[in-house]
Amino acid sequence: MKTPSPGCLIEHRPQRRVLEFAAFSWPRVGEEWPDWPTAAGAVIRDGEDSACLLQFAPGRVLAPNPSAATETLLDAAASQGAGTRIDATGKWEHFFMGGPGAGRLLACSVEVNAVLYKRDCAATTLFDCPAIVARCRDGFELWVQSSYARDFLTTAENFRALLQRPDYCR
Amino acid sequence: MSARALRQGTRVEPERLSFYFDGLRYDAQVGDTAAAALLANGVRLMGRSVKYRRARGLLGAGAEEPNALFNVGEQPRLIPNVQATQLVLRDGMRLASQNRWPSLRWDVASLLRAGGGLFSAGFYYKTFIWPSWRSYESIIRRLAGLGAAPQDCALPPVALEYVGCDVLVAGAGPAGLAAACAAARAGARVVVCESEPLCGGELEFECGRIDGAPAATWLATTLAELRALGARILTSTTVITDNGGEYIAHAEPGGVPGHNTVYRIRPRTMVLAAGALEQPIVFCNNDRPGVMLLGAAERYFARYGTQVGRELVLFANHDRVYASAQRLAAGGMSVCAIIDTREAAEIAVDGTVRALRESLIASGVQCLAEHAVIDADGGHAVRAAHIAPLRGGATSRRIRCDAILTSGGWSGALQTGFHGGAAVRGAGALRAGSASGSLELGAALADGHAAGARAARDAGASGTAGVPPQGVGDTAPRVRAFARSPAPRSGEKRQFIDLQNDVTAADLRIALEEGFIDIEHVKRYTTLGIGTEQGRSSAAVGAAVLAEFKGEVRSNVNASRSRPPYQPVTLRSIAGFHVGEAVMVSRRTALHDWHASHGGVLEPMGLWMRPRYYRANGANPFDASIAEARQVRSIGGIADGSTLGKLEIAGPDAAALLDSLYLSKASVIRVGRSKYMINLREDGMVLDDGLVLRLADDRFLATTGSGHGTHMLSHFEHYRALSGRGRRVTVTDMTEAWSVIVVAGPQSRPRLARVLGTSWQAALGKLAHMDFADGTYADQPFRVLRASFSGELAFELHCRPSIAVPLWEALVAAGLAPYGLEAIDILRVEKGYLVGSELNGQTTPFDLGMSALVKQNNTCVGSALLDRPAFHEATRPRLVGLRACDGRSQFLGGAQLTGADAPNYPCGYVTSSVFSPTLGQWLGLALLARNQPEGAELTARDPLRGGNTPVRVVSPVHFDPCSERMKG
Repeated sequence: MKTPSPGCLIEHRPQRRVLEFAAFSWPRVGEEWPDWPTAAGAVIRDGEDSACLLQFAPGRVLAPNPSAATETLLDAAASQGAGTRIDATGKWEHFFMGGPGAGRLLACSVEVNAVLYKRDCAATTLFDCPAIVARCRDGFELWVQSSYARDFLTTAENFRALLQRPDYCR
Repeated sequence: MSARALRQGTRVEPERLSFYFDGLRYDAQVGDTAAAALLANGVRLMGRSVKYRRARGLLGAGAEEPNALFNVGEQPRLIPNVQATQLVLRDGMRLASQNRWPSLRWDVASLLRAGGGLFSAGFYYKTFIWPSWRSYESIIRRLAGLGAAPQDCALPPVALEYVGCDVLVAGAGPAGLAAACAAARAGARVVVCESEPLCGGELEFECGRIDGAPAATWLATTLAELRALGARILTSTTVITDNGGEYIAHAEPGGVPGHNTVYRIRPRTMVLAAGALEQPIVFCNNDRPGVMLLGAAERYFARYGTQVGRELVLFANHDRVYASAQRLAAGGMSVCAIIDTREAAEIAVDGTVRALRESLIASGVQCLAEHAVIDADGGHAVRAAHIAPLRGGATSRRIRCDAILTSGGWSGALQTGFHGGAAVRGAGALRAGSASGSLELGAALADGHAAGARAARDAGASGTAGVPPQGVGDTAPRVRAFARSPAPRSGEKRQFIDLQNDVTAADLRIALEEGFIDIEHVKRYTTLGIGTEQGRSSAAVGAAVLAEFKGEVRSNVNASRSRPPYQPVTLRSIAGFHVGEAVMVSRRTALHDWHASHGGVLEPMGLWMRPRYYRANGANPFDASIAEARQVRSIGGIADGSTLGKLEIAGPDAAALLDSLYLSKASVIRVGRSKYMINLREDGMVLDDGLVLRLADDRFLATTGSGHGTHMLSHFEHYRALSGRGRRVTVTDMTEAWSVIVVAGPQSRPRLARVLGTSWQAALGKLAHMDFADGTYADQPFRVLRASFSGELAFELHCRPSIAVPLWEALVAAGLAPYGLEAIDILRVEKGYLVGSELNGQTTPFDLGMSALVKQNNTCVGSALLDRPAFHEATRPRLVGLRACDGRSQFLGGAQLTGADAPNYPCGYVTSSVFSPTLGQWLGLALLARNQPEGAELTARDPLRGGNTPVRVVSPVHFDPCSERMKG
């Protein structure tokens, strides 16, 4: 019981271009496109395990740091009348939480395994901040609405420090 | 205190420590609770009751303890109401008793006992009514309550953990562990919460055998198996409430408030195996220090090697008292008498009990059947018990003793279930073990196993739960219900049912005689089971006594419903991380740090933080805002408008959706133009206002009020969804994607042109009012909108957050000084623009002078109800301007407006007021009854802040009525 909580890395990643795609209807969007996250909660990743397309809510797709191919795909989807493409650069701040204690740190706010039950990403609220959480190879990628990012990071860092204290170990 | 011999018990270590209680130093051993250590040091008096300030000692050994509540630590950071029975001592710890002055032994307020008759049930309502309750209130409030609040609430932070599982088991006694094991074997994810630091429950005392082995062996094997199956076992963790299917568990190792964890556990099913609480038997003066629960005395000895007294009288109504007596005698305590309320023949039915009783009699213990303890002698400690037969009317006898140990049976610890409404719905968690009445080891194990298997099945686990453990231990005690010893009516005033709140049998009788029949009404009238006690030691006895007085069977009277939390916890634990600056999440714009580092005084507006004013412009908000407003009117200024909500509505049906949501049509807006528009609620009241920009044929950007963005997004999405799946339109929140800088003032155009460069100069010159132009700035998408909410020539710059700071700094360098919310309000009120308080959910477009928008005859949400006759009555408000009649006096927002003809009946109120540097006087906007004409003289009444100010009704547009300045 008194073993120290495992460590956790919180990384605030630089702002990049972000696109959002919103479908007119759901759930049939994208079935014909091989590179489309057709299921709610699906994530398409590139060869470097970076998330390219995340269907974070039904019919809502996030494209962080979109490649030319991704932009073409979203434009094609929009021009075929499936939905609208929006340049949401600046709306989200990107974070990474890794290490063996990442799940415990997120558990200070949500039970992440329940949130990501049978899916790889979801829109949720972390420490009262609207966010998208996605499971990745080494932990979790988070996109937090940028106006909340400072408070999110402060609270997460406070909990990280707290969980490292031996008198809080469970 | 002198050093004492080392005690031996399951919880204490040989290492010594010391602590302080009421300033005196005492010795203890590592592992001791405060209660055990004080008892071992011969301390019996540990508290005073709330109402009569009677001397009180320990009743129990665990969470049921109502009396021994201590302050831990010292002001300004003391923690009140910590149960001595739950507090594990640390070296140097400082504890203090509560509810006494000047000392625990000599308490002045204990003189209140002399006026005990004044404090009977419902005394708040009937004793202190002359001359008025107010005359007594301050004294009573000073005496009332438990403990003292800390002067500094900066406790250490609380660790939170959200936990999901299939089965939550509350309690790790035999039944709880059997349940957990069955569920885990069936494949369920199991979490076990045990309030004690060790698992096992009664196995700590009983010498039973399980599956053919000693119980301790089974305990170790079971815990190992549970861990191997992935179950999580949380010790020192109490499930304190059922919050609608989410169980809140509080871990406080050692019971010291502070470094603790709050678990929010959401299981699919729950097994409540939290054991049973031993109930006291009520008799006269049963609150004397030294009157305790029998099981508590056994626990103190087994766990801590602490003897609760030297000469004991045991008073019970069941078989188990004899085995307990034997164990206590073996521990070196002298059992003077065992008082059993049952008939001798009934006791003798069980051969084992009979033999045990005979052996105790042979060893010199008086065993009296069909007798009761009817009174206790003593002051700060029990000195003797008075015993009387229950039949025959023989006189009582006095037995000298220093402890009276009572046991009136057991009541399941079901309080957590009640929090979830179990008592009302008859539903709730599965119950197992003694919580469901299975007091015998074998039955408890079987009960727990069955509950665990069912819980796992209900949670969807499909494995097999295995074979239930077979246990052999103490037989289930036969209990004959007996809650209260007989007493004359006068004696009922000293028969304490709720020790914490001084509720006596007499109080229950009075409540009943005064018509309070239901237990919940009795609870509220008498204070039975309120406070931190919450009925743990009083609810069952109270219900039994009430049933007796009503002449009903006990089962007809429910115990009162307890409230969370099950045990006292600090407010800090409940608050989680929502304390201090984090009490509410804040939203920050991209310019937040610039504002903060340049003297901006930030204040919350909804969740947003916005600069109220800049210190560089004045020493106080008034001076600074006047200077800032003057700067805007004379040269120009910049404001951070990023907090405006921004929704992008896109798709072929975007215009149609907006037409259905705004009072005027969006479909008529040309690309490159914007329009001021308002939304209505379904009832026709104004919901919000803002600009709608047409970005393309199928794309719009709608701005909302700063605090309304999230709500308006929901509103738009709601009606988008209602409009059917076939509609091709989407709504996306773009608030954070666009920073907005407002540039306003007569010099705004040339200075802006200088900052933006030659590529934008021509466009700025061409932009007509409400036009906008898209382009780029610093290689980023950029938009300039010509719109004004200040009455000046003004532009809104929409840019990506990444370039907001350099752009802002370039504007400052161009001589455009920042201005804050106070100055914005001044500029708006001068022009008669809505400030915000006018959109209060109670105003219509007609009230706000927007009838022209209604005349466009657009059908939208809420428009159908605009024709309601009530919206057109003469008493409806309308937006007007106000000025002080003398041209100098101040009046404030919120002041009520009255006319000379009806000085006590307001005809409106001031919605906003500012001092106008342009006009040199106080101006205001008001919502005023329509029958008050322009030019009318009224009084702005504000008795709490500023008194009465004569004001004149004027046009809401105080300044530049033809908007010449805005046209540039």
